[in-house]
Amino acid sequence: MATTALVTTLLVLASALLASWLVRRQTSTKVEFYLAGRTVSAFLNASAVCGDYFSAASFLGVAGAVYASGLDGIWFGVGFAGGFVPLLLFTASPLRRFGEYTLPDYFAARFESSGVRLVAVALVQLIVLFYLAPQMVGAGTVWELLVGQGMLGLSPYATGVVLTAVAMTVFSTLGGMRGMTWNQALQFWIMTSAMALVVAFAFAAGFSYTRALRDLSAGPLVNPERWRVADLLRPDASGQAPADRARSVMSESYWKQHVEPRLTDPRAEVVVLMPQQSKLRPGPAVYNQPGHLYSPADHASLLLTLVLGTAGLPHVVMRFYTNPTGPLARRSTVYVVLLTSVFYWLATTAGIAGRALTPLTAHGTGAPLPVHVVEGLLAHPDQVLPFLAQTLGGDLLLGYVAAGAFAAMFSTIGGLLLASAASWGHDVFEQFLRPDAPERVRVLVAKLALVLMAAVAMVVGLTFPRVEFFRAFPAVIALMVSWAFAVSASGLVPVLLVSLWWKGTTLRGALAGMLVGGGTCLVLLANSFLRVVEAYPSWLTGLPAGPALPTLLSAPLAFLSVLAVSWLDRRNVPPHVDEVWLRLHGTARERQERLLERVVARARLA
Amino acid sequence: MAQDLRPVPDGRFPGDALDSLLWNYAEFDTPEEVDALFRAQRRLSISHALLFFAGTLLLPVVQAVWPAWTTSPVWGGLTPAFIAATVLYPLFCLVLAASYTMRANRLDEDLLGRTLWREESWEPPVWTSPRGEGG
Repeated sequence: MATTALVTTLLVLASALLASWLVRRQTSTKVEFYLAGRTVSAFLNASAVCGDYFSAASFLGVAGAVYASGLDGIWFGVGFAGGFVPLLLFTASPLRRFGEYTLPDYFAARFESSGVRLVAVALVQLIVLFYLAPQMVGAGTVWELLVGQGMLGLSPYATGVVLTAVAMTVFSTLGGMRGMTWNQALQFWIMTSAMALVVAFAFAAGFSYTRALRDLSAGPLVNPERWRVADLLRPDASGQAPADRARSVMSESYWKQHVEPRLTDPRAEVVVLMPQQSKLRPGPAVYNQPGHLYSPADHASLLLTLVLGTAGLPHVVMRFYTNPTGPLARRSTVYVVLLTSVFYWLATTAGIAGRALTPLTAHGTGAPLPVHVVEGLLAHPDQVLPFLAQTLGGDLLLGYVAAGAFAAMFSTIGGLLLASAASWGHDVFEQFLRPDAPERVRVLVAKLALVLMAAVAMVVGLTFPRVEFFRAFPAVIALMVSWAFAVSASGLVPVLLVSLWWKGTTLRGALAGMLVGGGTCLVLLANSFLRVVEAYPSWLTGLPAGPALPTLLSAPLAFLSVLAVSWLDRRNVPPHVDEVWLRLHGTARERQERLLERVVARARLA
Repeated sequence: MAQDLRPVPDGRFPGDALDSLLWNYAEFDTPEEVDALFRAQRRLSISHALLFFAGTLLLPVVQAVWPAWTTSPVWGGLTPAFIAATVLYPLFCLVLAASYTMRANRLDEDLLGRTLWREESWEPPVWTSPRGEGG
């Protein structure tokens, strides 16, 4: 396995490096480095947006979530795909027409304020960090799982983190946004083809979508869970211990052989099958029914987080600045909705196929992956895609899926690094430190900022409490990515939408919306996080747990704040708002740019 | 009025003779035209958004209040809720996105686009750069 995966992954790295090398001469100006000269075609941009957007959470996590939770897992993918509709309806075209580099740029110009730029920079960096950290942890974990070998004395996990950070630094600084565009588009098609191949192999092996669903939903949903022995044996109020429930759904032989010998040490951990309860109605959860992961409030909050949050993700928004015109930005988004729908359909089908076929293929051919199978079910659902690939298509297909997994992380990390560098370089250095810096220095600073952020990402990846993360993987990866969406949906998107479409939005209103939405979101996330890591201060234990994601509360609060404060502050509407409106909603600028291109083309031909 | 509001090309060939050529053949929008377009676009966006959010948030509500939606198989193990999540909702998003894009682009073209010439038949004059490149 290691050889095939290494060779395939190196091929992916080589192709991406080639793309960066081929366009290296086109990064000499800032608009080229950050925005590929604003000349990216709609379909290429759509492929790159998808590459940028689909992270480890999408490639491994959605199939894993469907494997473990059935219908509730599907909603993660559906929400990711649906998120592009609000972006299309409200932000794609006006932001492109406004023609700046970053989201903080827009806010600063809209309100003529450097204060609002700084608040936006803080929110953008927070989103990038929430998005970047799990990608780096994912890179280390996937390297460990799929390649399993360390280099230069490093552990396999550290090798994955370091290699990913170094590779992405080289690609991004060499190729800028144009190189990144080709990289991300290429990586999207590698991911999609890998997913399609796994699904095709599953159908070839006799998988039937409807039959599998019927069979998997015939009884209560049962999943592997990791328990401390002391907790597993402790009886609850009814006198029944979790061990009794586990035993009722496990075979006697497995229990005696694999579980019972470990029950003597109360601090030991064991993985057992556990019947799952529905959060929607009393009784057990069922695979093809909702309720395993979400109550109705959690479900609505998840959907709102994903569909609102996409419009404020800095690396995704930045991609829309690269479109040549507003109408092409819209067309590009329609392609994105189509491509994401197809990708997530493949991912969900792979998850169902994995659940149906794992018990049959658990003893397949080929060198075994270091996966933990408990009575035909994977202990880590995120491993379903590589596991399925190896058992159905051998090492070659596993190698291709490994390349797809790295492609997912590379493309997202690259986009995040570039967005973060743009925010530091353009929004902080150029605006506050050296406004008169020549173009050469600005590009140099952008590249330095990118290297610095890659170093931060690497340190975060290496110092995270890895064991704890691996235990929860991919739940924590998906969870942290959804935190990034929540900060975006609460802190940035409400103010963005209102200020793009209501002239009466004022600076105070915008600041109130960002601070109330972002602040509420962060407080509720901290509340949730401390409970997850069992570090909740005792003097706060009386507080309610709240929903898993805070957007259902924080986003409406942000909308209310920006609207109410702007209305109260209505005498202070920015005086230049008509000029801003001409740039946001007029088309003269892009018509002029088209004219310029024709004139230049004519001059070159003559 | 229109003269003052002409857009400035963004960082392209600063100082080239091209700039003055552009001023002679400028595209422009008036604030009144842009305001009319913005209002029409806002109506279009909000109407599609209402449809989108109604469709999106309806799904968890239907799941919670109508048990047959989630428990009655239609084909194999496919329940209406499953079909809605895997096929109907993505299709709904796609149709909504395509419909909005066609209408919004048409609005752009119908309400704006005043120029000093007809773009289809216009032939730009031959231009010689100060560096002697091109014609």
